[in-house]
Amino acid sequence: MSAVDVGQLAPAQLAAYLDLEHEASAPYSAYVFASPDVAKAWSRHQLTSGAAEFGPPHGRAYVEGESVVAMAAWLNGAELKRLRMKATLALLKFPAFGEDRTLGDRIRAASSTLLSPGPEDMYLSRVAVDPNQRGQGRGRAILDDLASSARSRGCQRLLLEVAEDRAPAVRLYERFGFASLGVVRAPAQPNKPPLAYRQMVLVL
Amino acid sequence: VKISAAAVKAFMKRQLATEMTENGVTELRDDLNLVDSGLLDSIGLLQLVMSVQEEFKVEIELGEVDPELFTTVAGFASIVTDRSV
Repeated sequence: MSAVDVGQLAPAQLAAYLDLEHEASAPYSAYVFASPDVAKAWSRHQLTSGAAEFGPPHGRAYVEGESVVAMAAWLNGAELKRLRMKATLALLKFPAFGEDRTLGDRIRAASSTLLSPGPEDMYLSRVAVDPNQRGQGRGRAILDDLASSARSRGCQRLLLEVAEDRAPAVRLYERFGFASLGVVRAPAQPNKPPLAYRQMVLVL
Repeated sequence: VKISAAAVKAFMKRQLATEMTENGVTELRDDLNLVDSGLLDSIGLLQLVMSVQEEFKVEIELGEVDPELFTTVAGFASIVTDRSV
């Protein structure tokens, strides 16, 4: 399994990468967006606006042969802050934002569950392993890649949020040495599933 | 109704009162960068746009607007006043 920058993917690989990104973001997307189609359109819009946390050079696909078997995206707190601002500017131009008055409210509500890492922190923004490829230590290999990349860039801590009901993922992080900072719940929204993230930290 | 830039700035000053105190900003000068001065983060900007739309009943159609305009006081005010009828 080798890591390939998202900017280097062939079109079919990019589609597979975005499917995995969609899977990684599913708890947030289900809370925020009107439908999975809007969520997918938002991912594409962020990518083309250069505002995506999972875009180049932060996003990487894990490839075996020609197949994308996993994806991950990480960036430091300063890069994250800059991209979140870009994403807000991109959001103002996103058609669904103008059409759905409640979208902005839900994005604000969901933001209460997200960490604000410092410039010295590395933040794991997205990670997903293809469901057919699980149970083979791929998650662990990605975390090794993340930790060595963070160390080589002089970061002190790794931070992430994981949906509280994704028990296998929480266990993976715990075994890797992450400690829980607590669970943060977004305020309930009409006709939307609840959103609860466990925030976790690993001191390098 | 034509919205004046002064009215928009006065509204921004009320909305950002807490952030101004926290960051030691006493006046919203035209060329003040709202992001670099620490007054707005990404969610703060989103909140400000939404509350301005609500307050002035203005549809901010962004198709052709330079997004960087949102980051200064004068730029933000111009977006709102240019959209009013």
